[in-house]
Amino acid sequence: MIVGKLKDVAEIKDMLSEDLESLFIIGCGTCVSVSLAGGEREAKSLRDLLELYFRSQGRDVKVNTATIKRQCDDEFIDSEELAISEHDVVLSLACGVGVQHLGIKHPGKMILPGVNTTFYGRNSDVGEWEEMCLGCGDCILDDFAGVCPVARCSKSLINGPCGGSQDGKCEVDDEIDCGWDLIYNRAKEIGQLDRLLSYEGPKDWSTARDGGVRSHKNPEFFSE
Amino acid sequence: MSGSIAHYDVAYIGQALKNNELSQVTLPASSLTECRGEIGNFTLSYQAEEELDQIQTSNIVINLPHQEELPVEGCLSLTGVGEEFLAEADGDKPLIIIQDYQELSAAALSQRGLKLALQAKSEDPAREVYYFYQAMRFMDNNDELYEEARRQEVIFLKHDLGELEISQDGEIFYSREDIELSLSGELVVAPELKPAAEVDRLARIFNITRGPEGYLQVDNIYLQPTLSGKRGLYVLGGARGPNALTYQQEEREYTLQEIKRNLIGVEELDEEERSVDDQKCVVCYTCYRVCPHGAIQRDEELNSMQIMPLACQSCNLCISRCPMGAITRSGEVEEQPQSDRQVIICENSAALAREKADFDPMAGLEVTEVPCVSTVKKEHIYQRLAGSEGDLLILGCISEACKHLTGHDRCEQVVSSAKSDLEKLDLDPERVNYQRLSPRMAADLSAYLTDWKGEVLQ
Ligand code: SF4
Ligand code: SF4
Ligand code: SF4
Ligand code: SF4
Repeated sequence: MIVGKLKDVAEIKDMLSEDLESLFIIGCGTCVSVSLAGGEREAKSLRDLLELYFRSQGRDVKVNTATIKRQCDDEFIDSEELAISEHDVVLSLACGVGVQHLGIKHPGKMILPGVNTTFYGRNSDVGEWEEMCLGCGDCILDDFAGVCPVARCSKSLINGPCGGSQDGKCEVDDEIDCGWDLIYNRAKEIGQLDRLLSYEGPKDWSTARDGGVRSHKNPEFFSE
Repeated sequence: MSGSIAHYDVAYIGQALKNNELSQVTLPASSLTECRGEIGNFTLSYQAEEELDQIQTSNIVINLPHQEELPVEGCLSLTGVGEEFLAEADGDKPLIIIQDYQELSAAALSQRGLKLALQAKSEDPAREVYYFYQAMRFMDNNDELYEEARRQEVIFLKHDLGELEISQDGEIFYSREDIELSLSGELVVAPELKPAAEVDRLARIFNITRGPEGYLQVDNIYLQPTLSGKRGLYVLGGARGPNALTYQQEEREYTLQEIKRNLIGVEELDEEERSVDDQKCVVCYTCYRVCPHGAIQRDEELNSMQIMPLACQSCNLCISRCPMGAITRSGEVEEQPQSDRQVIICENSAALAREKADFDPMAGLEVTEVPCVSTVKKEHIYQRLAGSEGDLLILGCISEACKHLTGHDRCEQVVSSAKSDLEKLDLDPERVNYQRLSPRMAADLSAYLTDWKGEVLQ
């Protein structure tokens, strides 16, 4: 799912103007809650921390919070309509999608991001996540033993590793597993090594970001 | 799957313990797929022939042998040689017993070694028996066996690391100060003991924490001798730890007694009730993963988490880590302490130390007692700092004496994250302090508090 990381509090503080009178922190109760970055717990402790900070500055800033199920769907936002209008600024702890969706719904309101949207990842341990997919729009996992060369090879190489692969680690950072080492090992495990031998032509990146801003429709909801 | 599920007093994963009073079932570790429920009523799913089957049981005992690694290929293992070995021995060859080749062996292995040496001498008093060791470990009558072996002229040679070498073909080289020796003969070596096979998988299935060496019991005074963090689940032998061989008998007796006591009835450990709001829970599994007592499971009907009342040991760690604030405890009060000197203490350590002290070391401080300091959320820390100009001290336990195993480490993580956030906003991180105590540290407690008070007052 979408993984996020709460922004550094100093950065959040710097986004807020000197004459701020009220701040509404909105947590998001789906992806960023599961990735422990922007749910109710984070919203409330950020509220308390900022209150402590404003007080130390002798400023009287009203800070409130709410956490809604999904900031990327209209119906969930409606309930906070009034509260949003009553505050100077909204700090959204959703991923970038939620922050912008709030902006679309509230054109006159300053909506700030409180979370860095980091990647699409899996939970690899308690409090730990790993990137797995880049959302390229044309999934090729079937050709690579189920390990994504686009997201898990630091250079998105699709015809084998670069010369920097060493002992299963990537030359970009030896904390990173070499994606191609993973592809090779898994292909061997499931008896698909031969499939790696065929040459892959250049990947069509038009379905990824290179084709411009993406959107799509489910045909079952539209008539010709 | 069978319509009605059989219920047993105890399910053994691995080897059963001898007993005639309990109804029991034995399942191989490799067949197990899932454990649900809690003490008194666990449901175990396992692979039986072609299909999944289930049983219910009040207690679970994991009793698996250690995995053994021999330091040299091809030699005999001290745990593997039986009577027939000596009977068939070639008396012309010396018997060479090596007790601690690379690692010190458990006392039970000393005992086996000594018994083997004595048996060899009684079969054939003329046979040369060498016994290499780094440290003789004592239990039961090991000291008598040792004395007897000396009288029987077993040759004991003490060595330090590096003074003894075994070559590929089983020849022994020993050099120490004035002694240089090379020997060959029948070689029996104490194996290095490793955690039982499958413990990784079992830890996951039962949702319990493993110790750093990989055993299913973490090093903690509250778990001795055979408790796991989960009520009703006992770990023995190669599932428990490296010393399990030495205390086998006591551990078995203790475990059976505990099980019999459980069968009479099990009480909840806390009268407060913890519940999960299924509308708020996002099923992130954080509570499940951090609970030190394997007390949480997913409620399949509600698709939210469920806290099992008998299994819960009331540390509140799940409450403080839930990202949605979905877990609440009955009787919870939002207090707003205002004093300039606030202390949050764990009821299992600092609170006990306080009781034991001759005078109250916390007089004049605003003290809040919690079941485990993992109860503390970042929110609490900031609110308390906002409520006064003073300082906040949190007193937790040392890891080995933390009743909730990882609770105090978890609290320390929260405190250090809060301190770093305070620092980033140019707020004084020294207003929050975290200290670990053991229950016996009454003296330290006074000393620490004096120090801390001194600093605060300055
Ligand atoms: S706004 Fe972002 S974090 Fe929230 S539910 Fe939507 S995608 Fe997930
Ligand atoms: S191939 Fe594309 S869609 Fe598939 S996992 Fe990789 S980045 Fe994601
Ligand atoms: S931590 Fe909270 S939200 Fe996550 S599964 Fe547990 S109760 Fe649900
Ligand atoms: S209070 Fe502690 S023991 Fe009980 S369910 Fe929560 S984490 Fe587990």
